[in-house]
Amino acid sequence: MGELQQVWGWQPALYLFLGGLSAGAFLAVSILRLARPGKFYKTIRGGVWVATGALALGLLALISEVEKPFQALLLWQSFVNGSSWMAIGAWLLLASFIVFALSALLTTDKVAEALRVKEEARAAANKVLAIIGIPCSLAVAGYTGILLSMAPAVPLWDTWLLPALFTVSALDTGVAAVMLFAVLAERDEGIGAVRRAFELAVIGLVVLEAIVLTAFVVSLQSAGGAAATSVGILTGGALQAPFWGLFVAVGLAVPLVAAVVQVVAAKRIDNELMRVAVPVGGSACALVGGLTLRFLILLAGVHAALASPAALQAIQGATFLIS
Amino acid sequence: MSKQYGFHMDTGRCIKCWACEIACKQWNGIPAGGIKRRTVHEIDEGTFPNVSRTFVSLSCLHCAEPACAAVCPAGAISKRSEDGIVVVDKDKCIGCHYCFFACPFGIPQYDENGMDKCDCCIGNGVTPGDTPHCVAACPTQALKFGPLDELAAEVSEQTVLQMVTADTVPSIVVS
Repeated sequence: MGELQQVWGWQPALYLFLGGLSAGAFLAVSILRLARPGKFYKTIRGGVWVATGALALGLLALISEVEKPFQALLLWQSFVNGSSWMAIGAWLLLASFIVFALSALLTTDKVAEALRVKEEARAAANKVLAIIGIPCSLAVAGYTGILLSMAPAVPLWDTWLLPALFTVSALDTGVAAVMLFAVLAERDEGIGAVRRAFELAVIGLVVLEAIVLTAFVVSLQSAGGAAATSVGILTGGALQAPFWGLFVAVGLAVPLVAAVVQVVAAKRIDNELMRVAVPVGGSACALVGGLTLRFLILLAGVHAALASPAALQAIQGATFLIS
Repeated sequence: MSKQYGFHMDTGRCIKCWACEIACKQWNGIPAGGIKRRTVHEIDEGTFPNVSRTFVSLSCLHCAEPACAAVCPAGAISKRSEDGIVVVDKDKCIGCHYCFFACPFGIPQYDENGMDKCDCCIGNGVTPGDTPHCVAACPTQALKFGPLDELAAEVSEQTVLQMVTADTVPSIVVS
């Protein structure tokens, strides 16, 4: 079965990645902000802007995919069906984007100075936005998978393990993006402990992602039929090279090794270049893996009626169908 | 619902001449090569020398519980209460392609005007009590159209089965 899913192209795949990245980055910096108030300005500022920018780009990609993008922008008339997860998601994304954007603006010193926001009010607002933003981020991360899993005709997507996999990957890529700022930009003392916490988070998330991925693959394989055909495209078919090479090896194994090396041997690495290269390389690989995962899941999401003629045969075999 | 119209597809009569496909395109003004509201599928079974071919002409099945309508964010897909025909409001449709992934039969297709599918020819002036052009064009009378209970009564001697994949309860009789 070499046929790949073509109805949704690269734009939704890019959105699924950027939406997850945005959610993960905002969650990571919100936790950091609440745990260590007033510190790590550059890391937090970088993280909230990544969250805002990634979500904006992702939404643009999503809008550009539909046949009538300008009509889709009229949310109040195009996203009105409360039973549709896409309609629910559109409003969730709008609300989250407002929270993320406000947080990014208020976090930035120059913007706050220009607006003459009082320091205490600003700190309070940022704290509130971080608290509201945590459930928003989790919802945005989960929604990327829910959108796919609520389309019942695609066996590969028709499992709650897909939202689980996308959520874990979203957190993983978000931590990776924030890590880049912690390593490359942050000058505050104590960032070493934060980096170590992030490394431990990466180890936990990669292990969790591997477990969810295994459950996803095994459960679909054992389901047989079109589900097994679809997952076969990933593990042994047309997409096996990017699946094993880019997603499993580059996206999971390399970041895991980089994080373990950091945790175990950071103090023994005295080469300054290596102290930067290992975490930056690990983070970059995690981002590549997250992007690859979304493309793979979308491309392998073959429609049940096309994956096997079973649906048509079922019609043919049924003599009588009535409402 | 007062009435449910549907198609009867008699696979024993279909000779795969594609007259239904062509009639559908012509009467609905659909350009060549683009959207196909009706498709004649071929199902091959068995291994040589015991092989059989079956032809099934399919369009939208006007399901009792249309999955496409449930997922449509814009509420552009609806089921008419008077005749059970599932229709698309192209003004509301934004062309997000989500209904394709919901429909168990992969029926929805798209162009710049949004989603397109069979409307039992009501869009080109055929009233539901009358004959859609695919049915009128079929030389072997393999396709019929009418109230679903009447169509079902015609094939009632045969075994009556509920369709396995019918989460959506399609309005079609296949014999």
